[in-house]
Amino acid sequence: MFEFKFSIKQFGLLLEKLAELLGTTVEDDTLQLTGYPARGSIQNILLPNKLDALIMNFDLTDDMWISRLKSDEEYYVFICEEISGNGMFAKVDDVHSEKKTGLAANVYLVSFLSDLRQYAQAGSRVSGIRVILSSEWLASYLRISQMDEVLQRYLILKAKSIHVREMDFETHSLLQEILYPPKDMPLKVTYLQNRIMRILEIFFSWLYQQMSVMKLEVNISREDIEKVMEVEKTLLSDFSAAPTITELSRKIGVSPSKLKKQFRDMYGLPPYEYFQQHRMQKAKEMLSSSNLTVKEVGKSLGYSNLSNFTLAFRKVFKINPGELRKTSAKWPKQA
Amino acid sequence: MIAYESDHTDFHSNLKDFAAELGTTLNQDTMTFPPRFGDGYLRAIRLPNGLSVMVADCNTETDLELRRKVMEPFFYILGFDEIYIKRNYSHEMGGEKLVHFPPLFSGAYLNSTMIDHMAFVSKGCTVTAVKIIFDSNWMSKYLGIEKDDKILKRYLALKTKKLLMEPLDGEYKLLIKELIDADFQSPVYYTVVENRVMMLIEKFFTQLYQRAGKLPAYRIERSEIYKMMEVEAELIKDFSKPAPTIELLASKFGMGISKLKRQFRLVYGFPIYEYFQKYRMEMAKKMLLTGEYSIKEIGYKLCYQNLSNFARAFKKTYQYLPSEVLNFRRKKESLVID
Repeated sequence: MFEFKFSIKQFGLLLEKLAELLGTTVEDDTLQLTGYPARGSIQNILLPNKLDALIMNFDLTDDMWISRLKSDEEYYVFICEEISGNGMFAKVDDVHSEKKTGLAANVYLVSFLSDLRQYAQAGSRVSGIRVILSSEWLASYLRISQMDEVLQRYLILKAKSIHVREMDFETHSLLQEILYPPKDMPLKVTYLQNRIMRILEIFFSWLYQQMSVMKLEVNISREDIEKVMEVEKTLLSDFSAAPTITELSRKIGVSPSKLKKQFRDMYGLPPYEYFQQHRMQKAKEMLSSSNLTVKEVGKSLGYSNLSNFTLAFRKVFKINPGELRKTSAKWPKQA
Repeated sequence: MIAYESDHTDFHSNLKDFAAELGTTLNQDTMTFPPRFGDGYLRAIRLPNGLSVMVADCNTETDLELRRKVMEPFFYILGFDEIYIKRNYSHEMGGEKLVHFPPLFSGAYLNSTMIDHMAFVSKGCTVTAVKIIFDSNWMSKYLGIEKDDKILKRYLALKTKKLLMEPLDGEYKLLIKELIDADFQSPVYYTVVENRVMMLIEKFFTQLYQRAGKLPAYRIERSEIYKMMEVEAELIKDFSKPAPTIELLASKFGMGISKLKRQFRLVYGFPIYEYFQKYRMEMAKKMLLTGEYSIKEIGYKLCYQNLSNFARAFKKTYQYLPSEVLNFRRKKESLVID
């Protein structure tokens, strides 16, 4: 078991310390890992726009525990990494993420105010980037007056559960471009910076979108947040039938009235209305972008009775599905 | 006619003065044209990384003459123009005149405040443009290029003599579109703009260096390059219709088929149909990445009657299938076993 504990705010110093521990040195801002505890490399790059980043790409030859101990400074670490192997998990303060095998490809933000511990088993492959973000940096790149609340909500959510974003396709592609840049690049640093920045843009755009739809009360426990999130996922997984509150509450083992209240606190609407909003949104999408008939759309969303569908649609959009179809029917019939 | 001479190297200050000249003011860094002078806006953006950027998306309702004196210390200006020319769009640099051929100029160019500059845009032009200004310190810090760099000096020297500019391809146009379409109210606005601006800079300088500062060996007349700009715009203007045939393009632009093919390839680096297909697939990828469209919808939008043809074409370009983009997360999740 290889263990490494640190509380350093500069990746350059971190690499130095790690190199010292392994009895080697950092050259060209890169630590080559030649066998123990891993094979591959970790590169530190100080970007012109003042970002401090690590680019990691290695295979573990021993189990690894790394711990970043909390400090009282206002910094954030942005983590975007893919780990594949037999067993891994992360811990923020005393909260565990699930222990996983296979592939974990996650993007998330952790505050320096929390401890972060990560474990991965020998044989795991680790690749990704980490970026240190100061609050000044966030202030200049993101409109902090609006950012404050969003970030706070995110961190509350994070403090209560390890809330991570599954890596999207574009981030994955950008990461590959960072890990394996083309040879003979004339502007190598610009190339790396632009791709790292684009990954940050994708994450923060997503974050704002998520946080603006989610109303978050501070006094819901971590378990309850996870349960309500599960309910939300179940609700939107199948539009052809709405589960009843009783079914949902039984599934997660809380009382119907508590579920209704907490769901409303987190998502701003009672469960059935929330379901119905998204169901009709789906109907609208299908009507404006496919050549299915109104009846077919209704049917695929669980309406065997066309007039019930029309009524429900009208309630949300103040227009009949047929009228919407007329204004947006542009799809040529397939030959 | 409106004549304006700028004397700042910061676009924001220039735009403020220019707005005053037109009897209006800036609102959130943006000058909306008073109706008798134009339709649309100019926006000056100060980016977090220190760049000053001017974005134009407008029609002119009056002749505009914009002058810039020699300014020290020297600044570099990187410009991207897509201008539908009504009567006249021309430049004068260091006493040399360059008149763009109507109806379209779509090109990128780099110049500096080492020489004086005048741009004339006549009434009735449709202008989409991005200009970026930076000094040699910024260039050294962000791009690692020094002011006495050989390739850069060669390009700037060549430019004043030959006044040739790099035609904008589909990739440039897409970046410019994303920059212009960015939501000004979004908290990530500056990040979105800075990233597009940096990608434009990366592309321009990467090409410059890969060609070692030499312009592509155009063995064709300047007027013919402009004709290719028109052909390119016609080619990728609408992917919901089948690609125009080469015969159709040749007759539309009044030239022989083999000449058209040869010249297009010289200017844009790809044969006509390959080029069309490259950006059609780029469009498909963009749509897939939004997660808002099904493969069927995208196939329709990009004029594929047969979805397996679409999938095959996509795979040929990217080595993965459209469904792999859509199912990426689901696949990842299914790999996670508790």
